Amino acid sequence: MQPERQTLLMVGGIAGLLVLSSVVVALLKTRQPKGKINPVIANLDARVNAWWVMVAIFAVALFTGGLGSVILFGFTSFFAMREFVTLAPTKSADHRGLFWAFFIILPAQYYWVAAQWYGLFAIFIPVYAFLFIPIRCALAGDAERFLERTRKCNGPLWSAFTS
Amino acid sequence: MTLIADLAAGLIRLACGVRALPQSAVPDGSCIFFANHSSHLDFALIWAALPSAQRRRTRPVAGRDYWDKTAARRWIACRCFRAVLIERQKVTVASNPMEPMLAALDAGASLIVFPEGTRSLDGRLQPFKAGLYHMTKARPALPLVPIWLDNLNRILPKGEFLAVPLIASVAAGAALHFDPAESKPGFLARVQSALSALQRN
Repeated sequence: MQPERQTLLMVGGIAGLLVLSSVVVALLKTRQPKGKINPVIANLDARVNAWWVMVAIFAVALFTGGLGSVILFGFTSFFAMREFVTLAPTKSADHRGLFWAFFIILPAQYYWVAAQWYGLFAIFIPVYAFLFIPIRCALAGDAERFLERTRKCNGPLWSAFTS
Repeated sequence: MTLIADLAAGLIRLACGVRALPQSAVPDGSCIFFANHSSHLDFALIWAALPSAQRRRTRPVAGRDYWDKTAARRWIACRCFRAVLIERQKVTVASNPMEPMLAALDAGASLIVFPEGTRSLDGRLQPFKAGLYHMTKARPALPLVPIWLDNLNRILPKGEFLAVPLIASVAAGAALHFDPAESKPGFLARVQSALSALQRN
């Protein structure tokens, strides 16, 4: 896929701003006494470097066409879901259900997206996954606060994909 | 070998979302790390989170009845982590669990011990066994470092073999020392409360 002129202009503009920021940071650093760096400048330096990494990742995703973006969003969903489930107090009976959500349902969902199978990826999580995961959790044999726990397993999957 | 070990430690930390402990958080020399136990990943994560000089001398203490059972478990315990295997069930004079641990400490190693004796199912701290007291009494100069592990019982609970990629955390407390004036229950209560004080909530 040939990137459009506007995309190129946008990425070029951002890269130009970053080059300018990096030059400013380098100049500020040379004006500091040896071996001692002002914490504000150290913080600015770290932020500019982090922006370089973020812009590089987005640029790669943009210029590899659809597939790069799908992979990037797949990983983003995975890490978002990881944060979410870490904070949600799940029980040990949810373990197998969560394993399915992380390693089978989420990758399958992004595979349908990459294959552009709209009919399936539009309903895969809200219909099939939301039916399957509670069944898998129920098979673990723990009925205590089942509906609440089901929400804790299903919710992250939906939020991770839609956000 | 060091490169492979550092790489493996980095991968374990990445998988569990944990940062390495800073050099200042643990003693430089030989010491005894004691931690709460809820998962097979516990000792791997402590090992991975230690600063690399301390990691090279650290050996986990594990139950022979479990880790010597199959060739795969033996390989993980003895070859990968150089575990000190101890008898838990048929303890006789000939198989005193204290001897291999003291021998390892005398050779300059640090040990990772789980004083609860087995993995907790719900992640709560269980009462300590007396082994830590006897070991510290035999080598009173060694510092005792409490390490609290969070969330590992959710990542790989007892009885499961597949891990879920949640974020764990490792916290090391200030080193404790043996006090000859203290009774056994007093010592165990003190070290246990030092460990539970590291819990975040």
